[in-house]
Amino acid sequence: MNRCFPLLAFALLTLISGASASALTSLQAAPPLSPLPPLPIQAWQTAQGARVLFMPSRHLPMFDLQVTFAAGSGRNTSAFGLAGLTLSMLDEGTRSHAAEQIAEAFDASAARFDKTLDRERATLTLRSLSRQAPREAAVAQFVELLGEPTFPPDRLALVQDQFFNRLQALATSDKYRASEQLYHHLYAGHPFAAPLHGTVEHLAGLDVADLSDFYQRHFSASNALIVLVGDLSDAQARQIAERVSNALPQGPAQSAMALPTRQDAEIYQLDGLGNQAHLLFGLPAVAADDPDLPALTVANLILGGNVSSRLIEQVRNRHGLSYDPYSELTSHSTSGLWTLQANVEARYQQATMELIHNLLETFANEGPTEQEFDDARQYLRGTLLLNAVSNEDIARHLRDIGFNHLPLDQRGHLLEAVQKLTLDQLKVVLKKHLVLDRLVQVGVGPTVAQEPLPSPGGE
Amino acid sequence: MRRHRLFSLGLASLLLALGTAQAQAPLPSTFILDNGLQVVVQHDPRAPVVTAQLVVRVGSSHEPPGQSGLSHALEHLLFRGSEKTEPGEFSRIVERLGGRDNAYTTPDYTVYHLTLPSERLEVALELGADLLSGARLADEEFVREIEAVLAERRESIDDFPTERLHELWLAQAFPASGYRTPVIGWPQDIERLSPNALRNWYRSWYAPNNASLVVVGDVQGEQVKKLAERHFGRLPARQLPTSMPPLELQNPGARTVHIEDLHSTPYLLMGFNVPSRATAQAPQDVAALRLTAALLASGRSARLPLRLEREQPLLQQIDVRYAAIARGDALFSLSAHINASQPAPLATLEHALRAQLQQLKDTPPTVAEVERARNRLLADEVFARDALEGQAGDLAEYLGSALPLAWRADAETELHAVTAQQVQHVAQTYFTRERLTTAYLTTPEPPHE
Repeated sequence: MNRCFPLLAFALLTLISGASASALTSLQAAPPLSPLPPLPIQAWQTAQGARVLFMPSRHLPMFDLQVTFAAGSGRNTSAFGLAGLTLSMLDEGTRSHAAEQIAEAFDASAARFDKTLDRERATLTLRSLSRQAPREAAVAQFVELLGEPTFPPDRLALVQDQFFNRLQALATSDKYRASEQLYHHLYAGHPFAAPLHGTVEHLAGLDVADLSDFYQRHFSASNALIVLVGDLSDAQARQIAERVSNALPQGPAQSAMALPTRQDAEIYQLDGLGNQAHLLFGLPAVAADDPDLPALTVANLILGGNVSSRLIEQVRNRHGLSYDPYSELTSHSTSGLWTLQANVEARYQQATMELIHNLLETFANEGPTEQEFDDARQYLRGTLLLNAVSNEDIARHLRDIGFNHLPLDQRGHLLEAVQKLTLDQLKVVLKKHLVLDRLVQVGVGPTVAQEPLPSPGGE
Repeated sequence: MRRHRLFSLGLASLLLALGTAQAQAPLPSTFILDNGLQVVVQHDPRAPVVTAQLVVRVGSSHEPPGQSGLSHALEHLLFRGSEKTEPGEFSRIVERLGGRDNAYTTPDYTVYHLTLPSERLEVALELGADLLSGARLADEEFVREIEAVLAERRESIDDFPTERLHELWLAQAFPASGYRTPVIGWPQDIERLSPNALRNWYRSWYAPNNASLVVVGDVQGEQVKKLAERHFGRLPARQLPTSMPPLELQNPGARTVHIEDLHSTPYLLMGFNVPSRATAQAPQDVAALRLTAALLASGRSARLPLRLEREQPLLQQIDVRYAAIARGDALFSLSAHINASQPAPLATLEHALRAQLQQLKDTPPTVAEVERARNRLLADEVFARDALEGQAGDLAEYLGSALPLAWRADAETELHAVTAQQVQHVAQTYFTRERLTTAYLTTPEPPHE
């Protein structure tokens, strides 16, 4: 164990001396990096009230179309699973086509159609070649199922079975169970406490009238965000957005999601299978438009968000407990959470939880070092650049800024905020949010005798 | 390193999607340094970003019995200290540039990749040359990092019955070749690895004449050539160990493996020994097998999802794979879970899958079906170019398997030429009992009263 200390001290020494001490010749005379170029995003609203974000990218003959609604699992307060079931049934039949014909239409035009659900959003995605024939066919089929789904009763049982199968599989997923427990606690009394994929009891009780009603209320044009990225002209993008918007039902926009109430600290231990334990730590954090988010983003990178983070250094490199421990910030439109997770051998669960708790305590009290702070800010700049190359990443970015009503140059704003930030300011924000008497700890694993931390290479 | 992903045969869905040529893609520029290092540059100007991938032609199929996991463990250790970096410093340098780095090992080769702002391309090449020649492989770092390898094995294989079954299935499916060896290594072999074994492995295989450098992004070939010569040019070529492409038996015989797990949904995995593009007598067979895989399971209107998941709700999560790019022989595999809501015995599922394969042997598919499958495969090639790493990974597959890049373009031509009769022909030729390995995951029978 003692041998760890000289090594750690050495690591700190190289940190302090910084990149200039690197033996790499390519870093020594490198000129400063160019400013981050803004993304050429266009934004407008359709006559029916749908918001549209479009970014042309004409290098590859393909495009992505995403339509997002405020129709996540947090919107089905009385029937758990209704949001997911409605989304899943959209391509099971329309006024013009049966499910098999819809599947065949997408496959014949070689398009990829997908649906995803989170607590706040339901998203339908189309990826297609941009050539006219496949584009026209794929968009037509996509628009049709968005606008005239019939929720045929004879398909409902099949889709319900798919949900039951998924729930059965998730019942053995330590990670899913831990996450559901955390939401259940942090969002007690709030719509986000609803289980993401529903429950067997609630799902079994739903009929097509419930789905149709949920669709009419949530999948309206004024509740829609349309994102287009790829090989499209301005006119083509506008035309596709119009077609989507025209097809959707009319109705009022959904109200903003409520704020969660403050909860106390808690420790949960759930029974798990196998020899591993999954550990999840969670704290309330901030919404996507919160002014504290830039500082917390930097703090998270240092804590467990990148490869040279404190969490990796301690849990993986020093003690060899876990292959891939990490922390992340999740921001919803009106609230958020900060989580930290690791998968370890069950016999080290208690010791690892203590290790992580101590790590959090030190971080909350002392904050990052100057070097960590500087490194993380540098990292963030490049990350923003790297995450705006592929259509897929750009579409995800557009969806986030669109859904949360963030400025079009969100990257520029974030970077500016992070560049202005001082270490002292970051420490203040950290103390405000990394409050350990609100920490929720969830462990999922088998009950086994606990052992002290191993220290490979030590002693 | 964080988030290394293992690619064992058939495990990664990428492998199927990335396997071939893209006639629409501009041709990469290629050149070879005097020491044998092959450099391939693909221009993509979408953003001032570049990915550089170093491909070393050594993987689990090269490993001797008792030393499985050598290549993968070495991949981990290369980030723990070198001539130019202290342990952990590699990642800190990359992160300060806002870059991301990772590495993965396959049965045939090992890839180290670095994506960063294109203005810092030279840093990637200097770090890459240092990986190839300057590793320290110190005892104390080995002792530490081997724990991360063991943790990776526990977290990604041992804790998942389907992953364990997959490993056992591969060991049966490749009776005669090194493809039986799991990429991460058998647990008892990982425990027995030593720093010396890793050093020897590194000295044997890590040489410029056994490596390729792939660069994709906002850069030009000339610029890369100058920098590659500066950083890799000084490394000497070396004599390499003899290595034969893994070849399998013509008639290995029917094989099975069976494990039980109380909490799993029953699962079936079937694999036929088939040639890859490298080992096929007729390249047309390879294109026909690719098309057959797509026709069976690519898209919701494909045969198996339509017939066995929807019309007759027998199974869930059907998956059909054929990775045509490898230096040796390949597998054509099908897997599925039973539909847990309407559970039928695994034997019923097996019977239904076999019946579908029999239909392909009896009757050629319709022209429309063949067209649909072909269009999806061709579109997949375009979609796979969306990520820079995807483009580089596609090139790395060919380079890592030591196959000519010209075959990428040929593969598209070959795909265009596939007929319904050829699909029937490959089904009859390869989907035989003697080529089949079947793996079962079931729940234990309740004890009889």
